[in-house]
Amino acid sequence: MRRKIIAFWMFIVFIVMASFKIVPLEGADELYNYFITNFYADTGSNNAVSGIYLDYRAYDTLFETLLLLVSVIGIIYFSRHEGDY
Amino acid sequence: MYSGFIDGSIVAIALFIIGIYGLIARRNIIKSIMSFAIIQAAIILFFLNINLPENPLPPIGDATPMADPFPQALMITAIVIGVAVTAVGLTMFISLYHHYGTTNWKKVVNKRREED
Amino acid sequence: MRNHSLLLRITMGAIYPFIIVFGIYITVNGSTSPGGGFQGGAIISAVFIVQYFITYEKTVSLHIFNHIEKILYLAIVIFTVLFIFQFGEITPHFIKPYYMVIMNILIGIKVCCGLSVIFYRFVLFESR
Repeated sequence: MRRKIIAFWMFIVFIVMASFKIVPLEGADELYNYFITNFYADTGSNNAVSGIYLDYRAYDTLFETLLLLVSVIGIIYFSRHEGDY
Repeated sequence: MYSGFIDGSIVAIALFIIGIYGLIARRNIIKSIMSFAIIQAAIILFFLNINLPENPLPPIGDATPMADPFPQALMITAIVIGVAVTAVGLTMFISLYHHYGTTNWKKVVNKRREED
Repeated sequence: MRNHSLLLRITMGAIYPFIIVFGIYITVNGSTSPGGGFQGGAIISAVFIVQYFITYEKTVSLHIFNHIEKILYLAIVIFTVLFIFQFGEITPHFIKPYYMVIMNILIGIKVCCGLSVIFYRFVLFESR
């Protein structure tokens, strides 16, 4: 019964979220126009996605690879039961 | 943007609501981790749907109706972060299962309260 | 996996080199075509999963993967600091494609090592 009540409320929330526009995204093309006009001149890469995550957002890639390294270290730490390796 | 009724953002919102339902209605730890993964997929789908032109081409070279490269570059990191979060969560769950012997959030809380 | 099926071993053994070539292609050509470091690394890490399914002895030393990953992270930091944060706007334009290719290869190998370590920890140590 509890699950059905929660599912009913979730359905109402879905109807409300789908019927209204929450974030107005139509006018958000300033960054898009900047990137598609001069990504090749700035980064020297023919692939825009690769150019963005390796040049414009180098900090993003740097700390994201750090996150993968830290998660691997955390997995090795957590999966060590009773002193085996 | 594709102007039919069922476009990507509607599907993304539906997946997000399903994940929230799994988080608050179920007390199984593995189902909570699966809900996290579903919410991750919903957020990735929503971001890829932002500012999408009609009949988009991949952002390579000088294709004219080019898809927005910026959400794609954000989401390529979010995918790896999702893998890391899921893996660490499953490993923590296995360690917790070895210690408490149950997969239920409430029983874990009760056993932890008994130990104190 | 206790008993290896013959079908899985033969088909996976035939696919094995193609996965390696496909992963290396996607990693190296990441700056001019669809692909990149993360995708290529994920594909190359599939090679290690296939190797787990088709070989009999399960002795993989994860120390080497972990050390390679740490050293490659240091190399990524050094490369980014040298080529992006040091020169900034005045980076010579002909250097940029080489920087892209080298960073894609480094990130590809690093992601491959990370995902392989995650898979082998789950399979070898958690499945008891």
